[in-house]
Amino acid sequence: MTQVVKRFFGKKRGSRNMRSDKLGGASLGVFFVVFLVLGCVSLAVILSQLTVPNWRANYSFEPTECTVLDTRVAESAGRGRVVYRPEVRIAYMIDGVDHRIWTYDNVAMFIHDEAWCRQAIAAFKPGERRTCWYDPQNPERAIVVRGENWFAWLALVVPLSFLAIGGTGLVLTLLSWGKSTERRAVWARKAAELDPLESIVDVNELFPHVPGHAHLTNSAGTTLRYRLPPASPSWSLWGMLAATVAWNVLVAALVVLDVRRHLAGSGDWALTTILASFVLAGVVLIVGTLRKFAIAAEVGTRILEIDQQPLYPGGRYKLFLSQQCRAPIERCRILLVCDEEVRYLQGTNLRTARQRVVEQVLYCAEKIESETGEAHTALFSFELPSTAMHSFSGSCNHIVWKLIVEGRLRSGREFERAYQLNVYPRAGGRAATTVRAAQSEHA
Amino acid sequence: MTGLEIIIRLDNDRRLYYPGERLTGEFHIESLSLVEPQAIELSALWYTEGQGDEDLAVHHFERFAKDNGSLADARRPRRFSTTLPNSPLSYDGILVRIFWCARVRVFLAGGKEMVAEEPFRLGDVPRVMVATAEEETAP
Repeated sequence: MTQVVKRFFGKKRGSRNMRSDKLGGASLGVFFVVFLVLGCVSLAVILSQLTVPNWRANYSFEPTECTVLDTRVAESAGRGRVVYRPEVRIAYMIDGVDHRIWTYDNVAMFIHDEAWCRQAIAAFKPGERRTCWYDPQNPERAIVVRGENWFAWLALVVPLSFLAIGGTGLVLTLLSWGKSTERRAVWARKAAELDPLESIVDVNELFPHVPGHAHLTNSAGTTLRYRLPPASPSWSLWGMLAATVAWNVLVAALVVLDVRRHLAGSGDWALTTILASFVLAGVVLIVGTLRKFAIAAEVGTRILEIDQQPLYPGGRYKLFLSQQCRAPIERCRILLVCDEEVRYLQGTNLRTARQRVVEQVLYCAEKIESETGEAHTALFSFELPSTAMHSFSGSCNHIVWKLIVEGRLRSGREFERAYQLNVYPRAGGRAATTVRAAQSEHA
Repeated sequence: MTGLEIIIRLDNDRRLYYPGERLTGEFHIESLSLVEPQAIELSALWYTEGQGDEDLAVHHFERFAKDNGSLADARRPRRFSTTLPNSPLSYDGILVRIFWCARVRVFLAGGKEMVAEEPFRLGDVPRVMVATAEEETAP
Protein backbone atom coordinates (compact mmCIF):
# COMPACT_ATOMS: atom_id res chain seq x y z
CA MET A 1 0.00 0.00 0.00
CA THR A 2 2.83 2.36 0.94
CA GLN A 3 4.47 1.60 -2.39
CA VAL A 4 1.26 2.45 -4.28
CA VAL A 5 0.76 5.73 -2.37
CA LYS A 6 4.41 6.67 -2.88
CA ARG A 7 4.20 5.86 -6.56
CA PHE A 8 1.21 8.10 -7.26
CA PHE A 9 1.70 10.90 -4.77
CA GLY A 10 5.46 11.04 -4.42
CA LYS A 11 7.73 13.71 -5.84
CA LYS A 12 7.15 14.00 -9.55
CA ARG A 13 10.49 15.47 -10.52
CA GLY A 14 14.03 15.00 -9.44
CA SER A 15 13.96 11.58 -7.86
CA ARG A 16 11.68 10.38 -10.66
CA ASN A 17 10.18 7.74 -8.44
CA MET A 18 6.61 7.68 -9.74
CA ARG A 19 7.18 7.09 -13.42
CA SER A 20 5.14 4.26 -14.87
CA ASP A 21 5.59 4.19 -18.61
CA LYS A 22 3.00 1.45 -19.03
CA LEU A 23 0.32 3.18 -16.99
CA GLY A 24 1.16 6.51 -18.61
CA GLY A 25 1.12 4.96 -22.10
CA ALA A 26 -2.18 3.19 -21.42
CA SER A 27 -3.78 6.41 -20.12
CA LEU A 28 -2.51 8.30 -23.13
CA GLY A 29 -3.80 5.54 -25.41
CA VAL A 30 -7.25 5.75 -23.81
CA PHE A 31 -7.18 9.53 -24.15
CA PHE A 32 -6.42 9.32 -27.88
CA VAL A 33 -8.98 6.54 -28.40
CA VAL A 34 -11.62 8.83 -26.84
CA PHE A 35 -10.54 11.59 -29.26
CA LEU A 36 -10.70 9.14 -32.16
CA VAL A 37 -14.15 7.87 -31.19
CA LEU A 38 -15.44 11.43 -30.69
CA GLY A 39 -14.04 12.33 -34.10
CA CYS A 40 -15.65 9.31 -35.79
CA VAL A 41 -19.05 9.89 -34.14
CA SER A 42 -19.12 13.64 -34.81
CA LEU A 43 -17.92 13.07 -38.39
CA ALA A 44 -20.73 10.57 -38.97
CA VAL A 45 -23.32 12.94 -37.48
CA ILE A 46 -22.15 16.00 -39.40
CA LEU A 47 -21.83 14.07 -42.67
CA SER A 48 -25.26 12.45 -42.37
CA GLN A 49 -27.11 15.50 -41.01
CA LEU A 50 -25.42 18.39 -42.71
CA THR A 51 -22.77 17.89 -45.38
CA VAL A 52 -24.27 15.01 -47.40
CA PRO A 53 -27.85 16.42 -47.32
CA ASN A 54 -26.45 19.79 -48.40
CA TRP A 55 -24.51 18.20 -51.24
CA ARG A 56 -27.53 16.08 -52.30
CA ALA A 57 -29.82 19.12 -52.27
CA ASN A 58 -27.48 20.91 -54.67
CA TYR A 59 -26.50 18.07 -56.97
CA SER A 60 -28.98 15.21 -56.65
CA PHE A 61 -32.41 16.83 -56.14
CA GLU A 62 -34.56 16.87 -59.31
CA PRO A 63 -36.12 20.12 -60.58
CA THR A 64 -39.89 20.33 -61.08
CA GLU A 65 -42.53 23.02 -61.34
CA CYS A 66 -44.45 24.10 -58.27
CA THR A 67 -47.10 26.64 -57.36
CA VAL A 68 -46.53 29.05 -54.48
CA LEU A 69 -49.56 28.83 -52.18
CA ASP A 70 -48.56 30.95 -49.22
CA THR A 71 -45.59 32.47 -47.36
CA ARG A 72 -44.82 33.13 -43.70
CA VAL A 73 -42.08 33.84 -41.22
CA ALA A 74 -42.06 30.96 -38.76
CA GLU A 75 -41.16 31.82 -35.16
CA SER A 76 -39.64 29.78 -32.41
CA ALA A 77 -38.72 30.77 -28.84
CA GLY A 78 -35.12 29.75 -28.37
CA ARG A 79 -33.10 30.56 -25.20
CA GLY A 80 -35.35 33.47 -24.22
CA ARG A 81 -35.13 35.11 -27.64
CA VAL A 82 -37.50 34.61 -30.57
CA VAL A 83 -35.84 33.21 -33.68
CA TYR A 84 -37.22 33.18 -37.21
CA ARG A 85 -37.02 31.38 -40.53
CA PRO A 86 -38.67 32.00 -43.89
CA GLU A 87 -41.19 29.41 -45.09
CA VAL A 88 -43.01 29.03 -48.40
CA ARG A 89 -45.98 26.70 -48.92
CA ILE A 90 -45.81 25.05 -52.32
CA ALA A 91 -47.79 22.48 -54.27
CA TYR A 92 -46.08 20.17 -56.78
CA MET A 93 -46.94 16.92 -58.54
CA ILE A 94 -44.61 13.90 -58.65
CA ASP A 95 -45.73 10.67 -60.42
CA GLY A 96 -49.35 11.72 -60.22
CA VAL A 97 -49.18 12.39 -56.46
CA ASP A 98 -49.96 15.92 -55.26
CA HIS A 99 -47.54 17.20 -52.57
CA ARG A 100 -48.20 20.33 -50.47
CA ILE A 101 -45.49 21.31 -48.00
CA TRP A 102 -43.95 24.27 -46.11
CA THR A 103 -40.31 24.60 -47.13
CA TYR A 104 -37.54 27.03 -47.99
CA ASP A 105 -33.94 25.81 -48.21
CA ASN A 106 -32.15 22.63 -47.21
CA VAL A 107 -30.78 23.98 -43.93
CA ALA A 108 -34.13 25.20 -42.47
CA MET A 109 -32.22 27.02 -39.75
CA PHE A 110 -33.86 29.53 -37.37
CA ILE A 111 -32.07 32.90 -37.15
CA HIS A 112 -32.44 36.13 -35.18
CA ASP A 113 -32.77 38.40 -38.23
CA GLU A 114 -36.53 38.76 -38.80
CA ALA A 115 -36.04 41.47 -41.43
CA TRP A 116 -33.93 39.17 -43.56
CA CYS A 117 -36.62 36.44 -43.34
CA ARG A 118 -39.33 38.91 -44.45
CA GLN A 119 -37.14 40.01 -47.34
CA ALA A 120 -36.58 36.38 -48.31
CA ILE A 121 -40.28 35.48 -48.54
CA ALA A 122 -41.09 38.72 -50.36
CA ALA A 123 -39.58 37.16 -53.49
CA PHE A 124 -42.37 34.55 -53.52
CA LYS A 125 -45.85 35.65 -54.63
CA PRO A 126 -48.82 33.36 -53.93
CA GLY A 127 -50.14 31.86 -57.14
CA GLU A 128 -46.92 32.17 -59.14
CA ARG A 129 -45.28 29.11 -60.71
CA ARG A 130 -41.62 28.52 -59.95
CA THR A 131 -39.02 25.80 -60.03
CA CYS A 132 -38.54 23.73 -56.92
CA TRP A 133 -36.16 20.80 -56.33
CA TYR A 134 -37.41 17.55 -54.78
CA ASP A 135 -35.62 14.55 -53.32
CA PRO A 136 -36.05 11.59 -55.71
CA GLN A 137 -35.66 9.21 -52.75
CA ASN A 138 -38.34 11.04 -50.76
CA PRO A 139 -40.61 13.18 -52.98
CA GLU A 140 -42.29 14.58 -49.86
CA ARG A 141 -39.12 16.67 -49.43
CA ALA A 142 -38.50 19.69 -51.66
CA ILE A 143 -36.80 23.09 -51.51
CA VAL A 144 -37.31 26.37 -53.34
CA VAL A 145 -33.81 27.82 -52.77
CA ARG A 146 -30.54 26.03 -53.58
CA GLY A 147 -26.95 27.08 -52.99
CA GLU A 148 -23.73 26.04 -51.33
CA ASN A 149 -23.82 26.22 -47.58
CA TRP A 150 -20.20 26.90 -46.48
CA PHE A 151 -21.04 25.98 -42.91
CA ALA A 152 -21.81 22.38 -44.01
CA TRP A 153 -18.17 22.04 -45.12
CA LEU A 154 -16.62 24.20 -42.40
CA ALA A 155 -18.28 22.03 -39.73
CA LEU A 156 -16.11 19.13 -40.91
CA VAL A 157 -13.05 20.88 -39.43
CA VAL A 158 -14.11 19.91 -35.90
CA PRO A 159 -14.39 16.10 -36.37
CA LEU A 160 -11.37 16.04 -38.70
CA SER A 161 -9.28 17.79 -36.03
CA PHE A 162 -10.41 15.23 -33.45
CA LEU A 163 -9.57 12.42 -35.90
CA ALA A 164 -6.13 13.87 -36.69
CA ILE A 165 -5.22 14.38 -33.02
CA GLY A 166 -6.66 11.02 -31.91
CA GLY A 167 -5.26 9.06 -34.86
CA THR A 168 -1.75 10.56 -34.74
CA GLY A 169 -1.60 10.28 -30.96
CA LEU A 170 -2.77 6.67 -31.01
CA VAL A 171 -0.26 5.68 -33.72
CA LEU A 172 2.59 7.37 -31.80
CA THR A 173 1.44 5.77 -28.52
CA LEU A 174 1.33 2.32 -30.13
CA LEU A 175 4.74 2.87 -31.75
CA SER A 176 6.29 3.85 -28.42
CA TRP A 177 4.47 1.14 -26.45
CA GLY A 178 6.95 -1.09 -24.64
CA LYS A 179 9.90 0.99 -25.87
CA SER A 180 12.37 2.30 -23.32
CA THR A 181 12.91 5.99 -22.61
CA GLU A 182 16.38 5.70 -24.13
CA ARG A 183 15.11 4.11 -27.36
CA ARG A 184 12.47 6.81 -27.74
CA ALA A 185 15.13 9.48 -27.14
CA VAL A 186 17.24 7.94 -29.93
CA TRP A 187 14.22 8.06 -32.28
CA ALA A 188 13.59 11.68 -31.31
CA ARG A 189 17.22 12.55 -32.09
CA LYS A 190 17.07 10.78 -35.46
CA ALA A 191 13.81 12.58 -36.29
CA ALA A 192 15.47 15.90 -35.43
CA GLU A 193 18.42 15.03 -37.68
CA LEU A 194 16.01 14.47 -40.58
CA ASP A 195 14.51 17.93 -40.09
CA PRO A 196 15.20 19.76 -43.38
CA LEU A 197 14.98 23.11 -41.61
CA GLU A 198 18.02 22.27 -39.47
CA SER A 199 21.34 23.47 -40.84
CA ILE A 200 23.52 20.61 -42.10
CA VAL A 201 26.76 22.20 -40.94
CA ASP A 202 25.87 23.40 -37.49
CA VAL A 203 28.33 24.14 -34.75
CA ASN A 204 25.85 22.46 -32.40
CA GLU A 205 26.81 19.12 -33.94
CA LEU A 206 30.17 19.67 -32.28
CA PHE A 207 28.66 21.05 -29.10
CA PRO A 208 25.30 19.34 -28.55
CA HIS A 209 22.80 21.31 -26.47
CA VAL A 210 24.87 24.48 -26.54
CA PRO A 211 22.91 27.26 -28.29
CA GLY A 212 24.19 28.30 -31.72
CA HIS A 213 25.72 31.75 -31.98
CA ALA A 214 25.01 32.68 -35.61
CA HIS A 215 22.48 35.32 -34.52
CA LEU A 216 25.05 36.82 -32.17
CA THR A 217 27.74 37.32 -34.78
CA ASN A 218 25.77 38.69 -37.73
CA SER A 219 25.98 42.30 -36.62
CA ALA A 220 29.37 43.98 -37.01
CA GLY A 221 30.51 46.49 -34.42
CA THR A 222 32.15 49.86 -34.98
CA THR A 223 34.84 49.68 -32.29
CA LEU A 224 34.97 45.95 -31.57
CA ARG A 225 34.16 43.01 -33.83
CA TYR A 226 30.54 42.20 -32.88
CA ARG A 227 27.63 44.34 -31.81
CA LEU A 228 25.59 42.44 -29.22
CA PRO A 229 21.85 42.18 -29.87
CA PRO A 230 19.51 42.58 -26.89
CA ALA A 231 18.51 39.23 -25.33
CA SER A 232 14.87 40.18 -25.65
CA PRO A 233 13.70 42.83 -28.09
CA SER A 234 11.54 45.67 -26.82
CA TRP A 235 8.40 43.56 -27.20
CA SER A 236 7.07 44.67 -23.84
CA LEU A 237 7.08 48.31 -24.97
CA TRP A 238 5.41 47.65 -28.33
CA GLY A 239 3.14 44.99 -26.83
CA MET A 240 1.93 47.48 -24.24
CA LEU A 241 1.34 50.06 -26.97
CA ALA A 242 -0.66 47.55 -29.03
CA ALA A 243 -2.70 46.49 -25.98
CA THR A 244 -3.39 50.13 -25.09
CA VAL A 245 -4.53 50.98 -28.62
CA ALA A 246 -6.70 47.84 -28.92
CA TRP A 247 -8.31 48.34 -25.51
CA ASN A 248 -9.05 52.02 -26.05
CA VAL A 249 -10.44 51.52 -29.56
CA LEU A 250 -12.78 48.83 -28.20
CA VAL A 251 -13.85 50.98 -25.26
CA ALA A 252 -14.37 54.00 -27.56
CA ALA A 253 -16.70 51.92 -29.77
CA LEU A 254 -18.66 50.79 -26.70
CA VAL A 255 -18.86 54.38 -25.43
CA VAL A 256 -20.27 55.54 -28.80
CA LEU A 257 -22.90 52.77 -28.70
CA ASP A 258 -23.78 53.62 -25.10
CA VAL A 259 -24.10 57.36 -25.82
CA ARG A 260 -26.36 56.59 -28.79
CA ARG A 261 -28.58 54.46 -26.56
CA HIS A 262 -28.82 57.22 -23.98
CA LEU A 263 -29.68 59.75 -26.70
CA ALA A 264 -32.38 57.37 -27.96
CA GLY A 265 -33.73 57.17 -24.41
CA SER A 266 -32.93 53.48 -23.93
CA GLY A 267 -29.69 53.86 -21.96
CA ASP A 268 -28.69 51.37 -19.29
CA TRP A 269 -27.03 53.12 -16.33
CA ALA A 270 -25.64 49.85 -14.93
CA LEU A 271 -23.89 49.24 -18.24
CA THR A 272 -22.67 52.85 -18.31
CA THR A 273 -21.13 52.44 -14.83
CA ILE A 274 -19.25 49.33 -15.96
CA LEU A 275 -18.16 51.17 -19.09
CA ALA A 276 -16.84 54.05 -16.94
CA SER A 277 -14.49 51.59 -15.18
CA PHE A 278 -13.32 50.39 -18.62
CA VAL A 279 -12.59 54.00 -19.60
CA LEU A 280 -10.61 54.45 -16.37
CA ALA A 281 -8.58 51.30 -17.16
CA GLY A 282 -7.91 52.73 -20.64
CA VAL A 283 -6.61 55.97 -19.14
CA VAL A 284 -4.32 54.01 -16.79
CA LEU A 285 -2.99 52.05 -19.78
CA ILE A 286 -2.33 55.26 -21.73
CA VAL A 287 -0.46 56.82 -18.80
CA GLY A 288 1.59 53.64 -18.26
CA THR A 289 2.52 53.39 -21.95
CA LEU A 290 3.47 57.05 -22.18
CA ARG A 291 5.62 56.64 -19.06
CA LYS A 292 7.44 53.64 -20.60
CA PHE A 293 8.09 55.57 -23.82
CA ALA A 294 9.27 58.56 -21.80
CA ILE A 295 11.79 56.38 -19.93
CA ALA A 296 12.99 54.82 -23.21
CA ALA A 297 13.42 58.27 -24.74
CA GLU A 298 15.15 59.62 -21.62
CA VAL A 299 17.62 56.72 -21.38
CA GLY A 300 18.53 56.99 -25.05
CA THR A 301 20.17 54.47 -27.35
CA ARG A 302 22.91 52.14 -26.23
CA ILE A 303 25.51 50.08 -28.11
CA LEU A 304 27.37 47.17 -26.59
CA GLU A 305 30.17 45.53 -28.57
CA ILE A 306 32.45 42.56 -27.89
CA ASP A 307 35.64 41.41 -29.59
CA GLN A 308 34.86 37.64 -29.69
CA GLN A 309 31.94 35.26 -29.83
CA PRO A 310 31.47 32.62 -28.49
CA LEU A 311 33.21 32.93 -25.15
CA TYR A 312 35.23 30.25 -23.35
CA PRO A 313 35.79 29.83 -19.61
CA GLY A 314 39.02 31.50 -18.58
CA GLY A 315 39.06 33.68 -21.71
CA ARG A 316 39.68 37.43 -21.64
CA TYR A 317 37.39 39.66 -23.71
CA LYS A 318 37.08 43.31 -24.59
CA LEU A 319 33.81 45.14 -24.23
CA PHE A 320 32.77 48.54 -25.57
CA LEU A 321 29.83 50.54 -24.25
CA SER A 322 28.30 53.59 -25.86
CA GLN A 323 25.44 55.07 -23.85
CA GLN A 324 23.61 58.13 -25.10
CA CYS A 325 23.07 60.74 -22.39
CA ARG A 326 19.77 62.46 -23.11
CA ALA A 327 19.21 62.81 -19.39
CA PRO A 328 21.72 62.79 -16.51
CA ILE A 329 22.49 59.24 -15.38
CA GLU A 330 23.09 58.74 -11.68
CA ARG A 331 24.61 55.26 -12.06
CA CYS A 332 25.28 52.80 -14.87
CA ARG A 333 26.59 49.25 -14.34
CA ILE A 334 27.38 46.30 -16.58
CA LEU A 335 26.93 42.91 -14.96
CA LEU A 336 28.10 39.53 -16.20
CA VAL A 337 25.48 37.03 -15.03
CA CYS A 338 24.67 33.36 -15.41
CA ASP A 339 21.10 32.24 -14.78
CA GLU A 340 19.66 28.78 -14.45
CA GLU A 341 16.19 28.80 -16.03
CA VAL A 342 13.87 25.83 -15.72
CA ARG A 343 10.32 25.14 -16.82
CA TYR A 344 8.04 22.68 -15.12
CA LEU A 345 4.42 21.69 -15.05
CA GLN A 346 2.61 22.38 -11.82
CA GLY A 347 -0.81 20.85 -12.30
CA THR A 348 -1.80 22.21 -15.67
CA ASN A 349 0.29 25.39 -15.35
CA LEU A 350 3.65 25.72 -17.03
CA ARG A 351 5.90 27.54 -14.59
CA THR A 352 9.34 29.04 -14.94
CA ALA A 353 11.91 29.32 -12.18
CA ARG A 354 15.10 31.33 -12.43
CA GLN A 355 18.20 31.27 -10.25
CA ARG A 356 21.23 33.52 -10.63
CA VAL A 357 24.40 31.53 -10.03
CA VAL A 358 27.01 34.04 -11.21
CA GLU A 359 26.85 37.82 -10.85
CA GLN A 360 29.93 39.89 -11.44
CA VAL A 361 30.11 43.68 -11.84
CA LEU A 362 32.30 44.40 -14.87
CA TYR A 363 31.86 48.15 -15.08
CA CYS A 364 30.37 50.88 -12.97
CA ALA A 365 30.15 54.61 -13.72
CA GLU A 366 28.42 57.29 -11.68
CA LYS A 367 27.05 60.73 -12.43
CA ILE A 368 27.22 60.59 -16.22
CA GLU A 369 26.16 63.85 -17.80
CA SER A 370 26.74 65.53 -21.14
CA GLU A 371 25.86 69.12 -21.98
CA THR A 372 26.08 68.44 -25.71
CA GLY A 373 24.21 65.13 -25.57
CA GLU A 374 27.37 63.26 -26.54
CA ALA A 375 27.39 59.53 -25.81
CA HIS A 376 29.25 58.20 -22.81
CA THR A 377 31.74 55.55 -23.97
CA ALA A 378 33.87 52.99 -22.18
CA LEU A 379 36.28 50.33 -23.43
CA PHE A 380 37.40 47.71 -20.96
CA SER A 381 38.19 44.01 -20.69
CA PHE A 382 36.97 41.24 -18.44
CA GLU A 383 37.77 37.60 -17.78
CA LEU A 384 35.20 34.82 -17.79
CA PRO A 385 35.63 32.60 -14.70
CA SER A 386 37.78 29.60 -15.62
CA THR A 387 35.42 27.22 -13.80
CA ALA A 388 32.29 28.55 -15.50
CA MET A 389 29.71 26.14 -16.89
CA HIS A 390 28.97 26.52 -20.60
CA SER A 391 25.62 27.78 -21.95
CA PHE A 392 23.15 24.94 -22.05
CA SER A 393 19.82 24.59 -23.80
CA GLY A 394 17.56 21.61 -23.12
CA SER A 395 13.82 21.40 -23.62
CA CYS A 396 12.98 22.41 -20.06
CA ASN A 397 16.32 23.39 -18.56
CA HIS A 398 18.64 26.20 -19.63
CA ILE A 399 21.85 27.81 -18.46
CA VAL A 400 22.01 31.33 -19.85
CA TRP A 401 24.92 33.77 -19.79
CA LYS A 402 24.07 37.44 -20.18
CA LEU A 403 25.50 40.91 -19.92
CA ILE A 404 23.08 43.22 -18.16
CA VAL A 405 23.28 46.98 -18.49
CA GLU A 406 21.38 48.53 -15.63
CA GLY A 407 21.24 51.92 -14.07
CA ARG A 408 19.30 54.81 -12.59
CA LEU A 409 18.60 58.23 -14.04
CA ARG A 410 18.92 61.30 -11.87
CA SER A 411 15.14 61.57 -12.08
CA GLY A 412 14.99 58.28 -10.15
CA ARG A 413 13.81 56.16 -13.06
CA GLU A 414 15.61 52.85 -13.46
CA PHE A 415 16.52 50.99 -16.64
CA GLU A 416 17.82 47.51 -17.45
CA ARG A 417 18.63 45.66 -20.66
CA ALA A 418 20.09 42.17 -21.11
CA TYR A 419 22.42 40.99 -23.92
CA GLN A 420 22.90 37.28 -24.52
CA LEU A 421 26.35 35.69 -24.55
CA ASN A 422 27.18 32.15 -25.58
CA VAL A 423 29.75 30.37 -23.48
CA TYR A 424 31.20 27.18 -24.97
CA PRO A 425 32.98 24.43 -23.03
CA ARG A 426 36.53 25.26 -22.15
CA ALA A 427 38.76 25.45 -25.20
CA GLY A 428 40.94 22.39 -25.24
CA GLY A 429 42.52 20.73 -28.24
CA ARG A 430 40.39 19.38 -31.04
CA ALA A 431 37.01 20.75 -30.01
CA ALA A 432 38.02 24.39 -29.75
CA THR A 433 40.05 24.25 -32.96
CA THR A 434 37.12 22.79 -34.86
CA VAL A 435 34.74 25.45 -33.64
CA ARG A 436 37.12 28.23 -34.53
CA ALA A 437 37.57 26.68 -37.97
CA ALA A 438 33.78 26.57 -38.39
CA GLN A 439 33.63 30.21 -37.30
CA SER A 440 36.22 31.20 -39.87
CA GLU A 441 34.19 29.46 -42.58
CA HIS A 442 31.10 31.43 -41.50
CA ALA A 443 33.09 34.65 -41.56
CA MET B 1 12.20 -11.21 -7.52
CA THR B 2 13.74 -11.99 -10.90
CA GLY B 3 17.03 -13.37 -9.59
CA LEU B 4 18.92 -11.19 -12.07
CA GLU B 5 21.68 -8.75 -11.36
CA ILE B 6 23.13 -6.29 -13.87
CA ILE B 7 26.81 -5.51 -13.47
CA ILE B 8 28.31 -2.48 -15.30
CA ARG B 9 32.02 -1.71 -15.03
CA LEU B 10 33.82 1.27 -16.53
CA ASP B 11 37.43 0.46 -17.47
CA ASN B 12 39.94 1.33 -14.71
CA ASP B 13 36.97 2.30 -12.52
CA ARG B 14 37.19 5.80 -13.93
CA ARG B 15 34.57 8.33 -12.86
CA LEU B 16 35.90 11.46 -14.57
CA TYR B 17 36.13 11.85 -18.34
CA TYR B 18 36.84 14.80 -20.59
CA PRO B 19 35.16 15.69 -23.90
CA GLY B 20 36.53 13.64 -26.77
CA GLU B 21 37.80 10.82 -24.54
CA ARG B 22 36.73 7.19 -25.03
CA LEU B 23 34.26 5.80 -22.55
CA THR B 24 34.92 2.06 -22.41
CA GLY B 25 33.64 -0.67 -20.16
CA GLU B 26 31.65 -3.85 -20.05
CA PHE B 27 28.43 -5.18 -18.61
CA HIS B 28 27.05 -8.60 -17.89
CA ILE B 29 24.06 -10.17 -16.26
CA GLU B 30 24.36 -12.50 -13.32
CA SER B 31 21.42 -14.84 -13.05
CA LEU B 32 20.51 -17.18 -10.24
CA SER B 33 17.37 -18.35 -12.00
CA LEU B 34 16.27 -19.58 -15.40
CA VAL B 35 14.69 -16.23 -16.29
CA GLU B 36 15.93 -15.36 -19.76
CA PRO B 37 16.12 -11.72 -20.87
CA GLN B 38 14.26 -10.95 -24.10
CA ALA B 39 16.32 -7.88 -24.91
CA ILE B 40 19.10 -5.77 -23.43
CA GLU B 41 19.73 -2.08 -24.15
CA LEU B 42 22.93 -0.24 -23.35
CA SER B 43 22.98 3.57 -23.42
CA ALA B 44 25.47 6.28 -22.62
CA LEU B 45 23.26 9.23 -21.81
CA TRP B 46 22.78 12.40 -19.85
CA TYR B 47 19.71 13.53 -17.96
CA THR B 48 18.77 16.47 -15.81
CA GLU B 49 17.44 16.54 -12.30
CA GLY B 50 16.17 19.45 -10.29
CA GLN B 51 13.18 21.74 -10.21
CA GLY B 52 12.55 21.67 -13.96
CA ASP B 53 11.02 18.81 -15.87
CA GLU B 54 13.54 16.21 -16.97
CA ASP B 55 15.60 16.57 -20.16
CA LEU B 56 17.34 13.45 -21.44
CA ALA B 57 19.45 12.67 -24.48
CA VAL B 58 21.13 9.44 -25.50
CA HIS B 59 24.66 9.74 -26.88
CA HIS B 60 25.33 6.05 -27.55
CA PHE B 61 22.76 3.24 -27.87
CA GLU B 62 23.01 -0.49 -28.50
CA ARG B 63 20.19 -3.02 -28.44
CA PHE B 64 20.58 -6.79 -28.26
CA ALA B 65 17.33 -8.69 -28.77
CA LYS B 66 16.34 -12.33 -29.12
CA ASP B 67 13.95 -11.55 -31.97
CA ASN B 68 16.79 -10.36 -34.25
CA GLY B 69 19.29 -12.97 -33.06
CA SER B 70 21.71 -10.49 -31.46
CA LEU B 71 21.14 -11.90 -27.96
CA ALA B 72 22.26 -15.50 -28.16
CA ASP B 73 23.77 -15.65 -24.68
CA ALA B 74 22.47 -12.99 -22.33
CA ARG B 75 25.02 -13.84 -19.61
CA ARG B 76 28.04 -13.28 -21.79
CA PRO B 77 29.96 -10.10 -20.82
CA ARG B 78 29.64 -7.42 -23.48
CA ARG B 79 32.06 -4.58 -24.00
CA PHE B 80 31.03 -1.09 -25.02
CA SER B 81 32.99 1.88 -26.24
CA THR B 82 32.10 5.36 -27.39
CA THR B 83 33.77 8.73 -27.85
CA LEU B 84 32.23 11.23 -25.47
CA PRO B 85 30.86 14.48 -26.90
CA ASN B 86 32.01 18.02 -26.14
CA SER B 87 28.82 18.86 -24.28
CA PRO B 88 26.81 19.03 -22.13
CA LEU B 89 29.29 18.77 -19.29
CA SER B 90 28.23 17.35 -15.93
CA TYR B 91 26.84 20.15 -13.81
CA ASP B 92 25.72 20.48 -10.22
CA GLY B 93 23.72 23.70 -10.00
CA ILE B 94 20.96 25.04 -7.82
CA LEU B 95 17.90 24.38 -10.01
CA VAL B 96 19.54 22.13 -12.62
CA ARG B 97 21.87 19.19 -12.32
CA ILE B 98 23.21 17.32 -15.36
CA PHE B 99 24.21 13.70 -14.85
CA TRP B 100 25.98 11.34 -17.23
CA CYS B 101 25.73 7.56 -16.88
CA ALA B 102 26.04 4.25 -18.66
CA ARG B 103 22.65 2.58 -18.34
CA VAL B 104 21.69 -1.02 -19.02
CA ARG B 105 18.03 -1.95 -19.32
CA VAL B 106 17.01 -5.59 -19.41
CA PHE B 107 13.61 -6.62 -20.78
CA LEU B 108 12.19 -9.82 -19.32
CA ALA B 109 9.24 -11.93 -20.38
CA GLY B 110 5.84 -10.53 -19.37
CA GLY B 111 6.87 -6.91 -19.94
CA LYS B 112 9.06 -6.66 -16.81
CA GLU B 113 12.19 -4.51 -16.94
CA MET B 114 15.33 -4.09 -14.87
CA VAL B 115 17.63 -1.07 -15.01
CA ALA B 116 21.13 -0.44 -13.70
CA GLU B 117 23.26 2.69 -14.05
CA GLU B 118 26.92 3.49 -13.65
CA PRO B 119 27.38 7.23 -13.24
CA PHE B 120 30.42 9.19 -14.39
CA ARG B 121 31.31 12.86 -14.80
CA LEU B 122 32.00 14.56 -18.10
CA GLY B 123 34.27 17.53 -17.51
CA ASP B 124 35.26 19.02 -14.20
CA VAL B 125 32.92 21.97 -13.76
CA PRO B 126 32.88 22.52 -9.99
CA ARG B 127 29.69 22.52 -7.97
CA VAL B 128 27.82 25.84 -7.97
CA MET B 129 28.09 27.41 -4.54
CA VAL B 130 26.33 30.72 -5.06
CA ALA B 131 22.72 30.94 -4.03
CA THR B 132 21.03 34.29 -4.53
CA ALA B 133 17.37 35.29 -4.34
CA GLU B 134 15.19 33.20 -6.62
CA GLU B 135 12.64 34.76 -8.91
CA GLU B 136 9.57 32.83 -10.01
CA THR B 137 7.19 33.74 -12.78
CA ALA B 138 4.14 32.16 -14.33
CA PRO B 139 4.02 32.86 -18.07
